[in-house]
Amino acid sequence: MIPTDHLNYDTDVCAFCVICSEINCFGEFTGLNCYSTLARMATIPISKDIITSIIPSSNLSDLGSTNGRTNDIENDISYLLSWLEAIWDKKQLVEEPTARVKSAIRSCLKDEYNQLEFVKLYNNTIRSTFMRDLKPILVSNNSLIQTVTSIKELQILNSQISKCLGLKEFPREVFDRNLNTLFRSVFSDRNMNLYDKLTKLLNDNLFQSETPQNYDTIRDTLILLSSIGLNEELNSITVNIAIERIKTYLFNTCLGLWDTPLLEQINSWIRKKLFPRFSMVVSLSDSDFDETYVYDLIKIAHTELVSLRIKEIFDLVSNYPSTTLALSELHQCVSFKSVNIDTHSSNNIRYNDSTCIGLSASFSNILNFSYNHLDKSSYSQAHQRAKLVDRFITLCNDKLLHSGANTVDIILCYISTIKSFLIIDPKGVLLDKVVRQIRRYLRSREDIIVKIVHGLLNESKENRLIELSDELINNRKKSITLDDSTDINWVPDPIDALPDFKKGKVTDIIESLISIFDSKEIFINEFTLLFGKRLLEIQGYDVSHIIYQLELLKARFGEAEFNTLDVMIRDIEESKLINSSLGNGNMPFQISVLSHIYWQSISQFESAIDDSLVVPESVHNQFREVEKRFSEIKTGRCLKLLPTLGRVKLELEVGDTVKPFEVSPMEASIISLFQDNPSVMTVETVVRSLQISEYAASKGLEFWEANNILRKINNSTYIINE
Amino acid sequence: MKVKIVEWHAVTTWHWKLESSDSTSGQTNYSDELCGICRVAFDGTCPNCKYPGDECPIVLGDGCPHNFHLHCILRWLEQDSSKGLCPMCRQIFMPKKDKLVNVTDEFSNLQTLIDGHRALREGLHSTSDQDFESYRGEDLQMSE
Repeated sequence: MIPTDHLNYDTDVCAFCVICSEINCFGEFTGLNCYSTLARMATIPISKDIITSIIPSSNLSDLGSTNGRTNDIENDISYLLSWLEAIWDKKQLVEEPTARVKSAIRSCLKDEYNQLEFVKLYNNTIRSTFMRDLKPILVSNNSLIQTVTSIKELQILNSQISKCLGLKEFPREVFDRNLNTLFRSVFSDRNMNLYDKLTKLLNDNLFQSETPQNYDTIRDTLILLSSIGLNEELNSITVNIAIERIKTYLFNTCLGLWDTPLLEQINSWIRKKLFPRFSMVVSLSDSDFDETYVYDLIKIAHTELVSLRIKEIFDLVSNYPSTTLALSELHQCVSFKSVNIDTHSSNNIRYNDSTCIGLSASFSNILNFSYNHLDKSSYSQAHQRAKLVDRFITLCNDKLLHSGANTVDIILCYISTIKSFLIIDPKGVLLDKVVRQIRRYLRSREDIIVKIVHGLLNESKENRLIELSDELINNRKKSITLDDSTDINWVPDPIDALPDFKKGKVTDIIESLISIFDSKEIFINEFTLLFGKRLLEIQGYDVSHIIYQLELLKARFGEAEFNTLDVMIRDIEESKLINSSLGNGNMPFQISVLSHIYWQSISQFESAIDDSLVVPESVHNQFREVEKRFSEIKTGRCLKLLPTLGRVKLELEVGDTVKPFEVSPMEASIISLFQDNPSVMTVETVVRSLQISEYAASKGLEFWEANNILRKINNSTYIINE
Repeated sequence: MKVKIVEWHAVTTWHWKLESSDSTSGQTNYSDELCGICRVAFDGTCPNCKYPGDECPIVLGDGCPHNFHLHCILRWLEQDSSKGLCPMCRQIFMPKKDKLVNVTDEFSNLQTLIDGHRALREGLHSTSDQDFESYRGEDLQMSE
């Protein structure tokens, strides 16, 4: 049967090939010749098409072609063939086969073997016809419904043929299988676009309309598609549609909506709206279909909600506490233990039991329907948790952790991050991961310590970090307990926790802020400085409030850290005693006596301004007096005046009015100069007589000018403004 | 214009008055000097105290120019090996009595210790001057 010329041709090529390679294109073969030979070889790849063109598959016409013999069998076959030909011509079963044809069928297809052979030949015949004539028409048809209708007619026709032929079970199966393969090839053709067409059909009529339309047509379509073995594609398309619908629904209902409970709403939407339509389709195509699929859909919806929230996570955190509801729903969706979804039906126990570190069995089923482009890993909770963390860190870097942001804002965001992520994941593992970035950044901020310390200690409403202060007052530090080996309820850290995860370190807001720095010392120093300033400003030596705050701090930082501050407070308390024992002179003169070693921060601060200020003589005399008395009480000790520190209350009589002032000693000394001397004075005079820097002098003069006591005559001369 | 000072709240620091040998710069040298025993400033405290001043006074040396926190020198003199000598210059340590702050138990303890050492010394003296001298020599070697 193999045409010899083909074989010859092949051997020719082989011969060329051999020669060519052996003589390597020398001799009588020119380079061009050789090239064309090779090119010809390259253009003839051996494929199925070539093989079939060479060896055509046998078909029914081969049966009829053996002319010349005229026995009964041959006659029967020709009857049979002409009968089939008539059917194929008209594309429909015109009439019942005649008695002659029936007997021909009976005699030709006596046993199963004959039937099988016949079916094979028949198949080959119609395949070539189908592929050549019918398929292009079916594929190019725009309407899916029309294609389906035509195919359905063909299916009916063929089932009638198979019935007339009286095929037995196995040949019949082969017959059907072949037809289905042909039909499938129509739908899987690239030009057919089954995916798009079916999606559109289902969307238009089922999923996106208020009430299902044309359900009968769709049902027929689906049944047909299912019957020719496209179940998998069908399911995949349906699931994808459902997921798209869920996404759209979530996008419309949940985006930016953070203060209403949504999970219940979503669940009921799926139950009442999506699932009935979903089931219309899947119940036809999936034999395993049951009610539990609704839980898979709900699960998918929750997962999609999480994806949506992940995109919004930064806003969720920065808008805390108004987003508490959204956060706690997010928690329900990402926590490892699956949520107990409303259990009114009895057959969903399986769902409730399944923990979601892996996916529940049916969940993977439903996802298997969908195409590869739907990344299954994105549905695992571990993946989502990781994504949540990554996304938040990225957003933080973009929006918060740069030099444009205020330190206080960053701290506020840090606090809401702690609170929000504790809602999302009460174990604190996610929190631990996200705060690392912020902590690292905060460490680089120079004013962070000052802001935290002021935030902790300032109880006024102006404090933007008042939360820290409240936290300090209300929440005593919970001691971080080490793993207790005898604790019977001990559980290991969550599976995705980082190696150095410590819950207490990140969940307690103050502890979390303090532990940004390895050493507590910088905080203690800042506290000392802040309290030092306050202690000096205190009126009437009342230190009770400072002691109270210090006690709170001690509870956090440890008793031993605050020795210096203890001494400082004691100094002020003692100053009160000293003052009362000194008695008052003509002018109320009060002193705070400091143990200078413990007030380093203050004295450094002070000497930076000016150490050599000459106070008014009356004041200096008063001080000498006090010092003498002090040395009597406290044997062996002397006092040194820090002239620029302290507060002075003044009354200025300008004209008829008396103006009260509370100023620094520097400012008091400057204005006192104007009393004793001519009322016009230059900056240089002030500098000389008070022995202060020019900067301090002009600053003091400007203060009085601002208060309308002095007037500037020229660049450096001031006069009393009377 | 009249300026009336209603109230002047001044801030001062207290310092021990020291008469140490190197107080050349006079009063302004507010002893950043350290106690020879604990190496902490006199205006601070000895290692065992928390509050400076009344609770942790200092003792000025009379025979020698060395000063110490009271608690530091007490602990030194409590040891028999100190022999009642100044730990800095090895002269017999005597406190300046007139400079002693209000006499407390601790100061009388100091006095008792010094007296005890003197009695010991005088006892040794009467038995053998030689012994005492060698004893002192040994002691000096040990300290080196």
